Amino acid sequence: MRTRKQDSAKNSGNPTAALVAEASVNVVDISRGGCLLESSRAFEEGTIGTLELVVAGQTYLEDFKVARCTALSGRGSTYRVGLEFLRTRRSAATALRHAIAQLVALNTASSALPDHPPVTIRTDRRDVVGAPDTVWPAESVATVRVSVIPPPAGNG
Amino acid sequence: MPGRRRETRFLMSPPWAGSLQTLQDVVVERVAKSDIWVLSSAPASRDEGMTLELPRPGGTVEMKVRVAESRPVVIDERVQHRVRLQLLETSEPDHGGGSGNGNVGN
Repeated sequence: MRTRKQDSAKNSGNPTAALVAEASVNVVDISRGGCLLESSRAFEEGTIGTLELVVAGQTYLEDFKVARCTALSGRGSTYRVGLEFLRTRRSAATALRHAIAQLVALNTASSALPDHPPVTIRTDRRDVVGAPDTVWPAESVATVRVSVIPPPAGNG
Repeated sequence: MPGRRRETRFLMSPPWAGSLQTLQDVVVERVAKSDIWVLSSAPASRDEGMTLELPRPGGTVEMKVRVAESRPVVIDERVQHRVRLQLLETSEPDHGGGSGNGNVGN
């Protein structure tokens, strides 16, 4: 991931290094291919890194490339950052896309745990995940309420 | 619009809190007692804390640094950023065989 051949050749023997920055973020939405974040700092398009999320006590990691970054108007220095996940890791239990696959599976296995009151998830597309207005067991969504956003119309 | 995701998105309500680490390749220009000058393709924010990972024989030295200064410069007809990093803390290489402090290059 850290190729420095070009830099090394251009900088006549000066050593190369990696500058690692950390930032706290909020994940606005997520899919198997990427996610949308809010952050207090901007990121350059093409920047690579690793996203870490702790969900229900489990840590998930995914490598990413910044696809776009835009400032939110009227929100001070808040930025919306679109990440594209890179398939640089095996799909292990700690991979974030594994967690997303579980979300999809939860949506299709809807009627377990009858003792808990159901929560309704609204979807607008029948062909996305399961049926519209799928009933989810409350325990499945105890920490996160999830709804499905259809892809923008006319974007392929 | 190119680059837009086509797969099903899950909206987080409330948003999930997380953290991310970004990597930026830099060229080490100069090392002084407590400052390191590097060339980067991206600017850095003043006072931001970062980690500089420097490959050394026997392992990678990790240095906790703080951005003291970041100025755009033109080198080889490209805009780059000369960043002065203030050294806060140095860790030894992962596998021994190198010193954590001192001059790192030319």
